[in-house]
Amino acid sequence: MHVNETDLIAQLKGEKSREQAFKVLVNTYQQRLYWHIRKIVINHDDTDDILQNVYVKVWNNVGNFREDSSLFTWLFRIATNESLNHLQKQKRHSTSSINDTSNYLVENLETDVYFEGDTLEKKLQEALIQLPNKQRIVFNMKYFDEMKYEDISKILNTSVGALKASYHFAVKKIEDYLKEHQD
Amino acid sequence: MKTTNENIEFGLGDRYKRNPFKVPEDYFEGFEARLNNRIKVQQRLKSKSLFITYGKSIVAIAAMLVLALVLTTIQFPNQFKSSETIALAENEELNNSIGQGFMSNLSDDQILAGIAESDQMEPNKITTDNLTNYIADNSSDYEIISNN
Repeated sequence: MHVNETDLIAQLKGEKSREQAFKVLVNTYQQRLYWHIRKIVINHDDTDDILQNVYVKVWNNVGNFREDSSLFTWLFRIATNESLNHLQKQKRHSTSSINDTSNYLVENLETDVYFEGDTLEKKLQEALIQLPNKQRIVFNMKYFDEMKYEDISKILNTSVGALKASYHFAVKKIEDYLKEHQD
Repeated sequence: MKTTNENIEFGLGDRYKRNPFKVPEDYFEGFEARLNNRIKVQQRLKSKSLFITYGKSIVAIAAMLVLALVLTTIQFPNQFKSSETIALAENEELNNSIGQGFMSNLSDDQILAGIAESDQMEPNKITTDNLTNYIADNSSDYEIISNN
């Protein structure tokens, strides 16, 4: 669905048109946002919770949206931050001190009833989980979502050069992991 | 592993680009309704919480006023004695007519003799309790306040 962002933002800020515009916003971006979050937190229930939080935040704060970025960038930025905050909370609740987020995510992957990947796909997810969260997000957005570095840069507020380096290292680590854990 | 100017292609190519994750049936179809419910609940909670916040402020202010009143009572006890008693004690004409109470007109020996007579005791065996009880029985609040 093609949506004119400028018009949509104006309608979101209008009192009478807000509800209808919000409906359009939800329908337009819910799937992209969902999969972006899901690849970060793995678990469906967590993803659902975070996605709702994202939209609630948008509903409460769209009046303060300064329009210095596109609506899409703003939404993805909120989704990324909410996902990272969620993982931080899990780390705080964990009793182990090393690789707290990794253990939580591996457990999510093992117990996720909505994961239907084969052995190799599961190995790839395990390799991804070993990466630092931000590096994993860069890999997801570049490899799976095939986004341009310039767009990723706006969402993550990181330079293109840093993103390229991050992606390069992520690829290297994943290759090493898969070689090491070959059957 | 292929390399390009734009990015480094992952050695496995597109093999792993398939999405291995699934969603529950009709998840996206029902998402908007669930989200709207959540927003409504949040707005209701917000109104409730505002009401509680204001209520707490009012209770806090009332508690502070009560505390101030209690502290003032402790510090200035005379402010809260019976107004009639205070008025009587401050009344100079009444003071003069009663002669500042009969107790002040008696000598110590007369007081002790009075106590001994009423309690049928020898004056030299009168205790502090005997004296206190005698004064309480034979003086009014007015006389005790005015002598303070």
